[in-house]
Amino acid sequence: MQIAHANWGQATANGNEARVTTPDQFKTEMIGLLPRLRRFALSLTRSAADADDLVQDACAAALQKWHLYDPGQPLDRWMFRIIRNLWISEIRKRQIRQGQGHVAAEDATELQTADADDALAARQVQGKVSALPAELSRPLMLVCAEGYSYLEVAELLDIPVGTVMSRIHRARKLLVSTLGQGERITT
Amino acid sequence: MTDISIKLSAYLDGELDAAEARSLEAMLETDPALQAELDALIAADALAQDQFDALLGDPVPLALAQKIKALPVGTAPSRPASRPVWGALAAGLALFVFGGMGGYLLKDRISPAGTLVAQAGWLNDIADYHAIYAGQQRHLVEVGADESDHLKKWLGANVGVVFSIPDLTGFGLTFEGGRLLVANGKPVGQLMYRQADGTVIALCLQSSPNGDTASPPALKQQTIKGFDFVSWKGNGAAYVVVGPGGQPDLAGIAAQAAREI
Repeated sequence: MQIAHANWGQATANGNEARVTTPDQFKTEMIGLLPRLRRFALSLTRSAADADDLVQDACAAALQKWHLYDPGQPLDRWMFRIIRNLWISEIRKRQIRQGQGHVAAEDATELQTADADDALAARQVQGKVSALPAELSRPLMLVCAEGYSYLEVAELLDIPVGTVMSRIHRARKLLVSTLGQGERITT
Repeated sequence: MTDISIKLSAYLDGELDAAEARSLEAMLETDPALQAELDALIAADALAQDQFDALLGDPVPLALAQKIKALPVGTAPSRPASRPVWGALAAGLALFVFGGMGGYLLKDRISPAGTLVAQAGWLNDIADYHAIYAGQQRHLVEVGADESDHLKKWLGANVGVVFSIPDLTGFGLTFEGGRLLVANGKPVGQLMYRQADGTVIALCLQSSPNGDTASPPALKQQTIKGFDFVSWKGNGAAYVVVGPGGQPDLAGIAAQAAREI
């Protein structure tokens, strides 16, 4: 028996397939998505204030090019991509300001916790996803809460599918280890 | 980390092909330790899902919603004139978009945001909140209907209004629970009801020194930001029922709520 994920297809369940044809409708749909946009932004920034700034910038960018949005596609996916691109741009700017030069896209989303150590993280996680290293919690959130496939996560975060798979597994293993439920934890 | 261990996660996410899934299921039947590991991963997944979902319940700052509401909307760039057919189509599209934009801007001109805020007061903020929360499925409320007594005490203490939770089942409305909001700088209690088709109707209350004791109270109907409102005052509080534009019998719902709250 294949286990189907409980949140599979959440985008449809949330009504994001609605046809957006006017700026007013576009704005209304966007505001309705704010809780999920903020959650995704928080997974990138790890700071609530930065997340809200990022969401606001992404909404401004989306509204400037709303006519390019394909109403046949889920608005949330389009917004997530804009948020992610803006965050990469912001990270690059910060790095350049700090004199660290150009940052590749695949590295930009990893900067917050690039040197995260799983063993240290395991002591800090204590069963909380918010305490997972960002590069682990990000794909876990997209799969677990947003119903993304591994391929979709890979495309959004610009990382290989195999990396998505291993990071999601490492995230769950960290949670398991702190819950004391791991019977056969192999690393 | 072994391949088989990673495959458990992929299996849990429905990412294995049919042959791999069958192979893993066969191993799970004969390997209790592997099954225990899968069970632990499922438990971790449930924990993660609950915690990620809990983030959706965090109140969205009203200022953020209002800033986004006020953001300008871009227009489609016109096409080059060297392509007559596409140019004509683009012109038509631009006209359509411009027409839509014109209507949008004209609406703002007739009813500028500042005037709207002054006229609508707290209702303007309630409209923004309703736009955010009416679309929520699992996280419509902060405190569920199963904790109604706690909800009445908690909201009542914060808002400064003693109230009962009206029974609106006669209108096909199921009480879902409530939230604490802030509108016009003052706390607001928001009671949420849902129809079978998912339509959300909210009943909001805020303390108001100008409340009167007329019985029955005068009901005022308004449409703000695409939502229909029926408001009234009484017993030191202001109340409003809000639903989608064109919601049938919102006044009847408000009259019932006014009698019971």
